[in-house]
Amino acid sequence: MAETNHSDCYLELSSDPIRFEAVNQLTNVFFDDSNKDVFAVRSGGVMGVVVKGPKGTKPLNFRMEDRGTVLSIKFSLDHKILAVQRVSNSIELMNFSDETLDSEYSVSCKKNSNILGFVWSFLNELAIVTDHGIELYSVIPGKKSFKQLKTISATVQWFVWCPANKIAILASAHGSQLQPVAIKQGSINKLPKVETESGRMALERDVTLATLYSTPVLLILRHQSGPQTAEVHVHMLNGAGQAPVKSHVLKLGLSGRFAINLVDDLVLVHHQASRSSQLFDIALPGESDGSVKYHTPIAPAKSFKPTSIVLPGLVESEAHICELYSPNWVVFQPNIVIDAKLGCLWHISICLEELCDQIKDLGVCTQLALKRSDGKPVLLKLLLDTITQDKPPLEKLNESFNHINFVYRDWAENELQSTLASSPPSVPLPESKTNNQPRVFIDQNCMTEEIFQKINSEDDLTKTERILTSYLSSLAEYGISAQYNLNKLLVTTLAKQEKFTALQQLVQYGVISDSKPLAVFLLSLGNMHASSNQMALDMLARLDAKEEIQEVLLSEGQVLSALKIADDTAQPRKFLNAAKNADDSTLFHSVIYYFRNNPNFAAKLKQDDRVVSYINEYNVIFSDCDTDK
Amino acid sequence: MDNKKNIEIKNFFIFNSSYGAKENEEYKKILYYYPFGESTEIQIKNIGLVEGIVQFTETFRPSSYVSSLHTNKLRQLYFQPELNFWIVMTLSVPLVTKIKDSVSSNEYMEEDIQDNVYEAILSQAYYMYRLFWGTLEQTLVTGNADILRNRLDTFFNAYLKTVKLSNADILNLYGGIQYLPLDRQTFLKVQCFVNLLESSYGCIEEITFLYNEHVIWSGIEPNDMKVMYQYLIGMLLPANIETELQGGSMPRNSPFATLKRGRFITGPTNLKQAKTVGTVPRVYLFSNDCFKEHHLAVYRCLSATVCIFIKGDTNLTLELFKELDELINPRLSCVVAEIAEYCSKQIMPSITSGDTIPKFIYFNKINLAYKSTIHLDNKQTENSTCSKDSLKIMADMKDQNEFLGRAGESIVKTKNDYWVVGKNSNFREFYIVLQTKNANLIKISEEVKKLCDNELKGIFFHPF
Amino acid sequence: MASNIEVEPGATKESVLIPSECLENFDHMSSSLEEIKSENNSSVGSTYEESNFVNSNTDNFEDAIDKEENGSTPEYDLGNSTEWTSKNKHIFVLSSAGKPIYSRHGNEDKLAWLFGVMQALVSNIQSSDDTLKSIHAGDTLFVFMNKKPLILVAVSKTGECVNQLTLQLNYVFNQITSMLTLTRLNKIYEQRQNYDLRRLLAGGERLIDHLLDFSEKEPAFFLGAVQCLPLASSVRDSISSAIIGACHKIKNLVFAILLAKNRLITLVRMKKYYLHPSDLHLIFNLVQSSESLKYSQHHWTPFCLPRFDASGFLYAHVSYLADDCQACLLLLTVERDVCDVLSEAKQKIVEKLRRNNCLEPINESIATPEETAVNAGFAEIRHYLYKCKSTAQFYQPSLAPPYSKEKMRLIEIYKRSNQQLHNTARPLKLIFERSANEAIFSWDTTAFELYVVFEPLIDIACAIDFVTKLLNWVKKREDKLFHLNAPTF
Repeated sequence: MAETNHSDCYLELSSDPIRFEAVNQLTNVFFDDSNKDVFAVRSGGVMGVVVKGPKGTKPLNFRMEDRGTVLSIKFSLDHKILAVQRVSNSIELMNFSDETLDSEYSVSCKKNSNILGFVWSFLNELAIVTDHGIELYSVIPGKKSFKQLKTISATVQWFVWCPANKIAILASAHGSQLQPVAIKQGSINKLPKVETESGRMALERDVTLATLYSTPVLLILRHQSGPQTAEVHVHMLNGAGQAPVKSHVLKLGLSGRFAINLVDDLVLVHHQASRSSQLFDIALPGESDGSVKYHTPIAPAKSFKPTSIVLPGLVESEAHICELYSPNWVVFQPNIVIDAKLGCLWHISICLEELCDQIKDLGVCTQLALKRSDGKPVLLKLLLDTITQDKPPLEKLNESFNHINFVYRDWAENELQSTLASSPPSVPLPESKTNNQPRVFIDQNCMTEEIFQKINSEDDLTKTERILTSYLSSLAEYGISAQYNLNKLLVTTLAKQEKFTALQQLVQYGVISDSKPLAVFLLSLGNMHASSNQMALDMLARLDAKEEIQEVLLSEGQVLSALKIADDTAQPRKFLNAAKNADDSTLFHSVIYYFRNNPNFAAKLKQDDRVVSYINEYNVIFSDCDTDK
Repeated sequence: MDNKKNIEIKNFFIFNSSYGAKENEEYKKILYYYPFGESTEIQIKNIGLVEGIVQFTETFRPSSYVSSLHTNKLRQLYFQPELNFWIVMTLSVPLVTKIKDSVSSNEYMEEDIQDNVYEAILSQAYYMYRLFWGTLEQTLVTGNADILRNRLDTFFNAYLKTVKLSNADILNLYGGIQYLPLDRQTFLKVQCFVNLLESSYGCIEEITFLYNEHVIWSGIEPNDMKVMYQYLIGMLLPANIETELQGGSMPRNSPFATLKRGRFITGPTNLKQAKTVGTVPRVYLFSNDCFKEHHLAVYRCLSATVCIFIKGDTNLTLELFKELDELINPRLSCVVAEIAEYCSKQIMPSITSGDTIPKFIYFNKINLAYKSTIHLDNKQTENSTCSKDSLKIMADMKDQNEFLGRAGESIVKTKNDYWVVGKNSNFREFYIVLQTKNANLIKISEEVKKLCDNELKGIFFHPF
Repeated sequence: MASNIEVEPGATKESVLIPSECLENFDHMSSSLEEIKSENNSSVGSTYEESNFVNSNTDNFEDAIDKEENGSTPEYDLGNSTEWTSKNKHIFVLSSAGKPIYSRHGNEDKLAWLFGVMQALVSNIQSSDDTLKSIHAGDTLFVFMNKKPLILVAVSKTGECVNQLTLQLNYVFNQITSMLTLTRLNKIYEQRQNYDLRRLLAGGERLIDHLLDFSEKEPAFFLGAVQCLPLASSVRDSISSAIIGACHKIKNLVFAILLAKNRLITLVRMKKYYLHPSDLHLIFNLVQSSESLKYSQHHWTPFCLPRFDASGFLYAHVSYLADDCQACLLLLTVERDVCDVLSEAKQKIVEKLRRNNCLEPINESIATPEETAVNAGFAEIRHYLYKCKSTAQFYQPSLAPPYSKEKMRLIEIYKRSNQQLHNTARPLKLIFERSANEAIFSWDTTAFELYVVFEPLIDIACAIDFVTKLLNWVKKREDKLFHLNAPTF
């Protein structure tokens, strides 16, 4: 099922692979996955050794004497010591500085045990794994000497090393016994044995040690006999003490040869026969039997995007389409593919956008994207695209919002705890934004800027209204109170459609949360519908904003009501003026008398001459009529 | 021993004053006349009298056309819903016949009929008609006078039977709507459900959502909702909800008690057997003074009622209803469950124990929302926790409202020593009945203040 | 509420006036006249000779007949007479047959057709033996009073209620009967179905016109009470005794009334005969509307007091005390030819009053307006009405701002509250109403009615406090403000 149409491929190999001399009669190639170095050893080193590290590091070139075929070759983590294994019971060390090797000295393991391999576990610490256990040495390059730090004994048939977590799995009994050991500086600890179905054997190549969601994991590829298809069992090595139990099963639905990579916390299973790879995310929901969660691929299996390299041709260099899933491929963790025949080292990356296209389901995509390091722009684009469809799937969107706000809520709660400030989640503190930030974090501001302001609300107000409601409803679901800008947007959207009845119900049921600015805004809509004034006043009442209420009432000519609310804080002049302008002698009288009869004001009245002028005016108004008629 | 003759409809007729201008053609004016028995002469005479009164009163340029005529024995109410169309209702004034030492004397209780209340009933009758048949004029435009006469007959012959005169009170004046108190989250669930429904079918124009007799969401304008609400509460639902509503308008029993699948109560009420869509009423909504025709499909599930207003030009198919049912039922039942849960959490004042809880009526002119702890149900029965008189006093107060202006209050003590308080604040009205024994004005005003603080939380209500 | 208040200012055992319920119906009529005459076996001929009436009438009311107005009334084409339609109250009087008798605005003849319509309406309803009471159209209220042999109609935009308008129509009816007596009125129509009553009422319109204005701006009418001229009780008593002294020998003198400035100074009556406030109001109206009285010695006119006895005339000797005292004295008798006797009596009275220096206090009281509530120390009381039920007397302070500018609004407020208290079906004991303009406290107890208008923002507790103080204040001054003794001949 090789892919002809590549547009929907969501896997790609790095466009500029690390190139090295391909394997041939003279040249051997080694890869050290601690330093990610590729060694090209020409005729045992005599013709020179070329070491290519990861991008950015400069290749090393040196020669060494040919003392028989090299079985394994690795630099110490600081590239100051080169370790080479040529025989089964010792390892030669050479101090290395400016491209030249110093005279060598060698470490040999215990009598009659065979070296299976060695790793640089720490700066100058060398762990040698033999069929009888592990011997840990500390190398002192200056003295060209070394001393044994620790040894543990165990029968080992083969082992797997995870440089990231400094954990090794020691396999015995044909891999039916898997013993994790953690190699720390100067020490080695056995961890509880991996629980596998008893007697179930495993091959070295079927066992992968890596990290998923910052937890060390052990992945075991289980080939099934008969009709059943292969599975990958995921054992979590989290937490000291408890045994690494099988907690996830990835159902491959295929059988044959597989290779596993981990990319951005996704498990990538390559299937050579079908020349395609399946993608799994243990974070996604899957059916569970209580202890184990069963996962199916999150998207249809796809091949890598085709890639090519430039080879020197007879006449001129020519592009060469690399064969994908070639038998020469070797994979290393987390995301490295090496084709020794071709002399290429690629890094695998996932094109989230294409992946989502394959998935279709917005809910799944959201969950997926939320956990990817580059998820944010993709997720936002995805949302925007979904919303701009003419019939957006409201329920799906709501689900998506819920996932987003779930993250948002957790973040907000941490914020609250970390900053003892009692600031509500709706107003995240800018400076603390950085810390404990989730991989993908989409808050209200982001939604407003990236989504709502980008929907052209004008042409479909109803849609905007519905999406907003859906988002607000999700916020509510997670107890996050909506910010002013969202509320305002909703209000405007409704107002533009003259849906004041709706608006009123939304306010009534507290969907649109109170705030003075919003109240002011509602007042500005007053001329469109009487209800908005009522809503505004109610809001101000709930906010206990006496001042503002006073002003509103005054502006509506309800001078006395305003006065009643102002109580002793009233400024006589303001009210007298309002009453005067109302040109209602009774009102004018009432206000004057209110102040006169109120001891708090009686005195003030006489002092303020501007007020006195009002009193005089009053006397004029009521002088002309003689009081008895 | 006295005996009381209750208020009743003497006659009810509709005519168009522009018709039958010619001599001997007056009968053409008549569009509807109740009682049917009445001879044409009488009908014409009565219409003539009304026209006379209209003309006479117009000579004095009143602020609005004549609304009522009081005689010793009768009360006649006038309503001109559309130009030249008059609806007239004549009521007989309640009569108490006192028999003292074998001499009987009649006493007409004129004041028992409050114009404003019965005017409301009259106009309500028209709006109810209009909901189903559109304006009178419209029928004449699309059809002719005889079609109109038929429609009026079919409608009013049935409607007049349902009119409850004797227990009419201030509530009729409001024609208010009861909203269900609900928390933001649950409300949003409803809102999203509604949005989903509307967005999934272009032909769905509006939706209203009720829980028992309480509105949670209404997409239509209050003035339309007012009539719809009366229709639902007064006519359509009672038949369907007796089982769910064990008395009282608030949910007492968890709807799970009667857990069952939702169904349409207009249209194909039994989708499994249904061969046709059945009868789906057409309704006319008049939002912003242009009227729109709709099919009204009503769906009930548990205690929830969803009114779906489908574009009038949509051709209704059984498939559509099946799809809708598929879409609605699973989602609605979840939403209802949440509502029910919320409601059960609220401590409902046991309205039966009348004296313990404060007796009040709240009304908001803007959204026509009302709340009454005085009326135990929506059915206009005798079921009220305070005397008829205090309700009448409220209606009197309401009549005086404009005297109080934007904000005011009015506290009165009746002859039998209970207190009625009316307050209004911009578009809101609040009426209270207090039976506190030998209280004084100060005590009462304090009680009222307390009550306002409790009942009028979260809104602006003028302090006095 | 403040029912703990025991004070009941202005109350007495025996009242000069018949305690009245302001809106009671005036129909049943005593026939006091017959009794009086028979008791005093006086030889009085029939009071009902038209000739006699007409003469006396024309004589005495000559000045009252407004020649200008007669016949030359401006014409109203109702079609477009906004001036006519914009009048806020119309009053129509017509005969049961529909003959125009009186129209407050416009010329009846021009309105004949309208009278026709009104008559038609009334009789139409009557035909199904029912009675038309009122028609309601927006701001306009039509009230019909079908009082054989007349039909009275009020068309009002004043906001007054049916009862209040009925009351006013009743006054109009009584005013007419006071000019003709009911007996005569009925006789006329028995004889001639469509008699044009205006011939008999010539000049009477003026009285009706005045009565209408008067009854609209005076609380006295809806309260069914009269206000007294404040006088030290000693002064009032010596005035009364002066009158008694001069009149106790005169036969068949029923009432002697002294009044000034719409206020009652004293009323002396024949034992066991009482005067009803509404009759007294007609007398006030008579005095007020006949300017000419001031300039002539005296007037002698037949005058029927409908509540006292609608069947016949009393004869009134009307005169002002003196040029230096503008109090008006009325002596009412059943004798038609004792004018001179009464003139003498009047002289005696005046002399007596001079001797006892009673004129100064009267003049003084006339000259000095009552205190305003504020000046009396009630800071937040704008105005109030206190009516003592048992004596049918009331007191009110001078108008103060803001009502000094808009008296009618104050009157409307009072009318409104009064109506609410006395709602026929749902009467109330107490009302506290607060609007943006004022706070109104109305209280109806067995003893009194009280209406107080406060500043709008007053606090209730404080209002109650004021009320208590106010009642005590009035109590302190009751013998000055009210006529507490009921002197008789």
